[in-house]
Amino acid sequence: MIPRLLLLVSTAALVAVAATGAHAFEPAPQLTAADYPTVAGVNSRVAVWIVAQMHLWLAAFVLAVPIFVFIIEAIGMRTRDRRYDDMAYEFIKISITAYSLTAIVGGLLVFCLVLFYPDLFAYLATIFKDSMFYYALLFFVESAALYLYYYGWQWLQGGFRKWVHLTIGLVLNAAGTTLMLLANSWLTFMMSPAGVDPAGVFGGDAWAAMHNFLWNPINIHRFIANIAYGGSIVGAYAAFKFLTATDERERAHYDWMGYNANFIAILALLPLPFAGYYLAAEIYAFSQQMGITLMGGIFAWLFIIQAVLIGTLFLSANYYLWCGMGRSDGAKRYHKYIKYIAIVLVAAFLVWFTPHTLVLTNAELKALGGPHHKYLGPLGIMPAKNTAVNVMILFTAISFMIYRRANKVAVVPWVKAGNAAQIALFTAGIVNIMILGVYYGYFTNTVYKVAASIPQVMTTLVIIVVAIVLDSFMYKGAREVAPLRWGRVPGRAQYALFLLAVSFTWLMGLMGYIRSGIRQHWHVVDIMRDASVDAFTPTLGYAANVVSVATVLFMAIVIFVFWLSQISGTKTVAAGYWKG
Amino acid sequence: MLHKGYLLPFVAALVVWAVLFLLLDMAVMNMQGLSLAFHP
Repeated sequence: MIPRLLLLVSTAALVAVAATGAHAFEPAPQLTAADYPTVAGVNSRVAVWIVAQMHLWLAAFVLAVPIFVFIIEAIGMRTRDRRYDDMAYEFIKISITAYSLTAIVGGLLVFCLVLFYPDLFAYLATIFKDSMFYYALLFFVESAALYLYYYGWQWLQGGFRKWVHLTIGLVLNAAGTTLMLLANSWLTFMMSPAGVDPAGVFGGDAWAAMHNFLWNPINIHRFIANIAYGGSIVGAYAAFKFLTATDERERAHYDWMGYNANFIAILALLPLPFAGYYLAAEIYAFSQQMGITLMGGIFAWLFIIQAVLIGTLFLSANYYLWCGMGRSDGAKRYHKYIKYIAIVLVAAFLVWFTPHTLVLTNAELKALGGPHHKYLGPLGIMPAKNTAVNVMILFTAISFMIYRRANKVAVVPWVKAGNAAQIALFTAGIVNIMILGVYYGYFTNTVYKVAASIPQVMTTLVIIVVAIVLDSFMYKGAREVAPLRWGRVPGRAQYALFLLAVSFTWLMGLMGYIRSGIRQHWHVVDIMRDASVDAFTPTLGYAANVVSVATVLFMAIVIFVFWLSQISGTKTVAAGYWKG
Repeated sequence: MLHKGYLLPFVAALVVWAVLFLLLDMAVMNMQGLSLAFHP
């Protein structure tokens, strides 16, 4: 079997190298079950599924961390506050170990694809030969930049040297992001193939194949999601260090680090539902059948789990902010508002995950009079959910704004008018979102329903931007009423950070499975059919179990990385062991 | 909200924001080839 594999791979490589025109390309192979090798009784689909997922989680982490390390380093250079530089250095230190693991798992993924799906891999390699070659080259560039960035941190300090260091960080991020874009084009080609004819014959235009219909929607969604994910993992690291800290100074440092990581995660989390909505809308636009499978068919119930997890993310992020208000005695002025924010968030959360169609027995169906609940059924459609998520985002922004005000009092003469204008902004905006959701969602047709989601999103973005701009002017030169004491935060706030990281991981696994699963029995949609024994959609329970096992494995790796960073700073005095 | 100094700016700002959001809705719906009011 191995010689056959080698023959297949080398044939693909030869085709790739020799091909100079459209005439040289073959149609997509029509496979039979016999074309899929069985290796040591391993389930091919589960093996590739888990390894690809692990690679994605690690890659998301190592791509995201350098992005915000770069930003934090730049903030440090601007403010000349050494704490930012130290924090950025500690962040990048964590990603170094994760980087090696990403490369190892990436190699394992290539082996798995070559071993278990040789014909698919050969076909993709024929089309994407150029981008795969540049991917390999860029990997070297990224590695070189990362090692230089990390090991040169203390060497390249001050003046011009610091600028050189920051530039290396920019190169590192440019290489990392380009790597992601290249890999994204391969997977989106499998969902929305381009640059090939209906038989799968490649036209020779590599850019057309890369620039397929779903490439940019995935690029945007992954870029934002990776930042949120990186923030959550680093937040978990800070929580771990906070809980194991032995003195006040260390506790204060990791509290500050956890807050910053959580801030980055929330900042990226706020636009994420919109990016996801855009991706889903584009999937519908490309193939209505694929779109219906995604949200109206077999995968619809996984979206309920997704809704629960996204709700968990919002609740835990808000809870962390509320706990963090305890750092300053000045926050007492705002405690009375927290319960109202919590009530709105929970109400929006309940709407957000209310299913449209219930899973029922025949007797239950009869008793209910149909698959939809009389009162709750209307909350199951998208306009209700869009309204709910916009409200959740806005109330998270309110939590953040009162957190920012916790230790300050504005001194500008127009403070009353400013506060009134902000309250009016949120009131008018939320009423607008409600009207858009209710009127267009329940009294018009589908075209209006979908179209109205865009002004809803725009309203939310306008409110957040205008409120923050107003706030920054209002709190310019603000008086401190009580100092912010880093480290004075309850231990349970750290568990909110852990919850954030685990929810993100599980969510990415489940949604990644859906994205891939909507191809159903196709390797490349409508072009190359999956003829393996696994060419069926597994039950939701089975899929959730596979993703959960992968999540546990990944979290074990994350704990291992945290532990490595812990022991790297520990010195054992071996008295009498060494001479002299 | 009824405290002195809050009510007037609140009402004034509410009217301004409401008009601005209405204009935003109109603009975004128009860009999608739709009018603000639904005509079946």
